[in-house]
Amino acid sequence: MKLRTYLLLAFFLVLYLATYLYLEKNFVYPFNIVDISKPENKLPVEKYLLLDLTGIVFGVRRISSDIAWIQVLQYYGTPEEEFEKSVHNHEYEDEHHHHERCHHGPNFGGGKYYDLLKLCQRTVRLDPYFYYAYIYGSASLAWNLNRDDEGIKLLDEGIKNCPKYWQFYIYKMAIIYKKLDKYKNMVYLLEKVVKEQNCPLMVKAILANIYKKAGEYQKSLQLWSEIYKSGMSEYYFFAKEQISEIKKILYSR
Amino acid sequence: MKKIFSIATYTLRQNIRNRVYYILVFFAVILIFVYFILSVLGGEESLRIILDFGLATVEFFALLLIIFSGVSLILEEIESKTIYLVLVRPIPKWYYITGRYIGLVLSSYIGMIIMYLIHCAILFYKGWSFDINYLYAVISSFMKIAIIGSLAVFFSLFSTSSASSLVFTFFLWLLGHFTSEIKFLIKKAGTPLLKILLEIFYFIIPNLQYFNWRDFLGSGISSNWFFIAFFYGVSYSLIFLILSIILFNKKEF
Repeated sequence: MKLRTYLLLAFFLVLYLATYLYLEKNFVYPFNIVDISKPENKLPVEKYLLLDLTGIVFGVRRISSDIAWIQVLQYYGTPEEEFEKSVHNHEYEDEHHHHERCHHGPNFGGGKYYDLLKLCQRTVRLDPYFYYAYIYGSASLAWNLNRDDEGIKLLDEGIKNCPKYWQFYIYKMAIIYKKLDKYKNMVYLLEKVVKEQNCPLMVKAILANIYKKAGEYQKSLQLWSEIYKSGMSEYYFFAKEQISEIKKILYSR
Repeated sequence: MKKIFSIATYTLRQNIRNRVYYILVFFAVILIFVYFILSVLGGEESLRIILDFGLATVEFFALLLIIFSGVSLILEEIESKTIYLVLVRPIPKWYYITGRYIGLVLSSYIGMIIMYLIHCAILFYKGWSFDINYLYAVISSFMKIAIIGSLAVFFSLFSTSSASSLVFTFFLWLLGHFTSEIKFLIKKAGTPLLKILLEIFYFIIPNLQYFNWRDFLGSGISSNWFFIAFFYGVSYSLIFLILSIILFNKKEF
């Protein structure tokens, strides 16, 4: 019995060694693409450093990234005091706007939100495969906050981490066209990405607003209807308002 | 074989009748439902949040189940001397350890399956379509639990108190997720002696990153090595099970 036990132990030790060596050679830790020990990849928000590192150590990077993402949405979804004051007289922009949902008005998503880039970078450095965070963050920075360079910076990080994700290139080009004031080229690219299944509703809303401003009401209506039909979201009520407003404009013509 | 099966069934029944087992499974199920509500905070990424938090919760609670049951499994029987009732019968000692281990792991798996089924039901309700990566994540978690279970049994025989075996097991679980950082430390180690020591340490601790599939969802990682990782896990668990048998054989009652 004793000899048999030791022989069995030796057999499993050999099996362990063989599998260990194989895996050492063939297993590539997917998060190695972002080496957080390098200064250019360091986790950008010091305040959350301990929380983020705990997530990494406990092997729950995706959850840490999810928490970081929720914090991004909370940060960006909370109206900035200063911004609220400045937009409260936006009647001239949209006479049908209801003031009870001021932050969902025509300037929805606007403001300063200086930390938005940092918070988005924190999310994608924890999980570099969080494609939605790159797109949502860069689109907010470029179209809502008019910080094109920051939007491009975030997308560049995405391109570096996931070069095969072709949509990043399109978004980047769209932002570049926006920067160059090439409206038609930008719209063409945005039209391409809104057809994608994982396109954030926010990008659709941006394009719908662009159409509306350009007087292309039919196209705008179509996009708002799509947003409305997608169900409960932060845009649900705003989409409903927009649909009735655009319909009124179209009927009055 | 029949005797091992009898001991395993007895252990399974003993664990399932344990109040702690019910509390943990019940608490995990409640938490999965809580994530369902919390997922609203994730905006359009709510499904991802339910998926990530759910998978991690199931694994974490299974870990608690196996650690708490595992460390006291044999130790309690030795202390209360009920172990004599089994050992006076013509049953080899290794039957006893193997049966106890199988029963322990099975009871954790039953709890996990219940939790996974509820998790899946919630995901389907939210419009999730089945992804093969989910299955990989489930199998990986099962493997982790088998490894931790063998370590828990080993430490319960190795140390004299359940508290110390609990700490050792938990510590190894933690280190198992820390392997890529240990690898980094090996590269940075200044002296050859430190390098060798770290290499030995790296070889001994279980690399649980191979079974951290729930963290790799969305990364597009290849599954070529998965089958080998399975054997890695099996051999690691069996090595510690055999070591437990050797320790148990050497124990004097």
